[in-house]
Amino acid sequence: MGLLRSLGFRAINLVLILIVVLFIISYALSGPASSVLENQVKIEARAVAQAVLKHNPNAASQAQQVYNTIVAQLEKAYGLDQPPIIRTFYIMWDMLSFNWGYSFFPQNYGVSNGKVVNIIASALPGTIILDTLGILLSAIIGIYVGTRSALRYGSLSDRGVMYYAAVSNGLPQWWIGIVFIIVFAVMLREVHSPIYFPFGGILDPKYFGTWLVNPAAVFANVSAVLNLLWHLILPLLTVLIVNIGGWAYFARTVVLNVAQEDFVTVARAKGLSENQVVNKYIIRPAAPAILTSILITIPFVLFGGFLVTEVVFQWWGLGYVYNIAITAAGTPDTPVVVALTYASTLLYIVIVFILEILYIMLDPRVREQ
Amino acid sequence: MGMALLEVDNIHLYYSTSKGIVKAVDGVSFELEEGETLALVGESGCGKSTIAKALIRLWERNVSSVTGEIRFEGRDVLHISDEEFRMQYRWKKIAWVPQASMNSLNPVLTIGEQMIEPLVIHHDVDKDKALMQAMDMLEAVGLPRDIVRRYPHQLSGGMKQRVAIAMALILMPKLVILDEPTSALDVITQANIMNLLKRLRREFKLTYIFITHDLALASELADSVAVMYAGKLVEWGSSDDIYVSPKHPYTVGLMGSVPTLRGEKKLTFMPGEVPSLINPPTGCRFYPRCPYFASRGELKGLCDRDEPPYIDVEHKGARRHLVSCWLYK
Repeated sequence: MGLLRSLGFRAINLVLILIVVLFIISYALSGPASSVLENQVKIEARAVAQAVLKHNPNAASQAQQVYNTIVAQLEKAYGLDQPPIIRTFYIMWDMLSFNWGYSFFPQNYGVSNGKVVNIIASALPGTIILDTLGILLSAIIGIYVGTRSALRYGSLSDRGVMYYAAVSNGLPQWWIGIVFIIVFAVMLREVHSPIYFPFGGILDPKYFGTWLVNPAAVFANVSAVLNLLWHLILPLLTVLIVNIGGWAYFARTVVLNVAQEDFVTVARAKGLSENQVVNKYIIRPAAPAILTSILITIPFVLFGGFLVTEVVFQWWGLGYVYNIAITAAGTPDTPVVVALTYASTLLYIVIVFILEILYIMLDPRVREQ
Repeated sequence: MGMALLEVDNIHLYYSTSKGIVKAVDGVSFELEEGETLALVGESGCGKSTIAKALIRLWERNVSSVTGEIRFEGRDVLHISDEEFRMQYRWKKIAWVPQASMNSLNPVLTIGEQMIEPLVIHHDVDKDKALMQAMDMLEAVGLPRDIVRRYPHQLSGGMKQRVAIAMALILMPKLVILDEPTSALDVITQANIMNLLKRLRREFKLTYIFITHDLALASELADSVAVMYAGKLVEWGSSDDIYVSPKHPYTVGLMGSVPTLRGEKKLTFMPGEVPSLINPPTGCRFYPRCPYFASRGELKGLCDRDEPPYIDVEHKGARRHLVSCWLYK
């Protein structure tokens, strides 16, 4: 009961955060969006008025009247006659119902009709494959390595892991990515190696068209899946090499701290076997702390390293689309940028909520009494 | 008195650190009869907790050497295999109650889960039966039975300490090592725990090693007292002798620094500080702080050169009264 109640509280909490974030984006957006829309409305009205003038060059006042009526009607239709706060709520509603509008520069994305929802939907699987898999794998491997390392404190392998962690923490993810492309894509081709890797991209062009509209169809095709894996190896390795060290370092510290607690000595004194001591008295109590760090790091990992890595490998994910939206056209593609910010917040909140459930299950101290 | 339950014979325990070898316990011997309570007294860092760790064979990982013998019921338990010690002695015969700190219990397991583990491991009792036994034991230490389903953070410090004691008694061990069991508790709770320990000793015929820095508290429980200083035992005897006529200047100093609520007692303190255990003073380790050494010229060249032997002084209590000091030669 306590578990459900506290989960309920967390869920309400996260929804509130989402609404606040959404309100801020929407409010900020209500300014530029309405000026864009107003310009659009005026262009349309002017076109009609000019058509009227062409028809009858002497009807200047009539044309002005037509212009005014059209502007008024369209502004009413678009809600531009409403105060900004009301418009903000319109925008919030559109965001919540995934009615995200159209890209200003649809030709940059190659997704037909330029609908923002479609652009993001085409990039989401790529992000899930690389980022989610990358985070999970690096966390699992890193925590495992760090725990082993802590239990063999001071040994040669422990010191090796710590050197590796220190070095990998200092390496920028994008740089490793570039080095990997140079070594495993460029150099391997130069020496005519039978095995080499792609320069970038998520799939070969023959599959990429399908991927953009229907990723599920790609997964039904074995050779396409193999092609995807071939493209995945270098970016995933980059992500793993850079991130495992940090996890290992953190897990090691937490485990070392727990291992010197009195209750661990009590557990040994009680006659528990070393395996039981490690699993029930060291790893179990350490788990909530490790999870907390995952919770804290995920936004940095997600919005920091991974976005840039996607660009380096031209990996069709949210980060790559973000980059196109901001830089490709000279002016930012506002609808796409806003929708991406909202979508990644949404993604983050879903991840946090899943981790919260885990956290509450693992640590009785955070459950509601 | 019957046969000794525990004999600690010339035990040495050294740690290796980056600064050198720390001689935490350096040749300590004492023994304990069944049903007797020994108070092991000394300042922090004198090696008393290290002796407790040696008795349950759970020393820190940087220990460089452990020598000597610990005989339990006549059998050396320091040199048997880890697995044999774990299965035959841990908790079954020797239980340990750590300091009343916030972390003697695992925060993510219920009290019940933690209490029944020894029963399941050593006696192969099924879970429900074990839980019943745990509840009985909780009742014996004055706690409600439904605590088995609670988590440690839901209990107060005093309750946690009672749980730790109940957990120590669950297999009815012969020897219970109490490592400063009340030092983190307020005085009322402390008094309650001391009364509980007395009652349990009577009820279950327990043998205690009570480790404390508090001589006054030790007098509540102890049949005999062993005073440690800088890794060595400086005085050992029945509590009647130690409290009535302490012999070693260090014990006298300890007694003098115990405050009393009434009376015009002037608190004395000992000048200087506990010596380094890496390079302990030669001869008697207490001589740099000893008031007699400072005031009596004839002791120069003796106390600071030769280690004092154990001298059997006159005693009224059941135990011999041994003191390691040149004053009584």
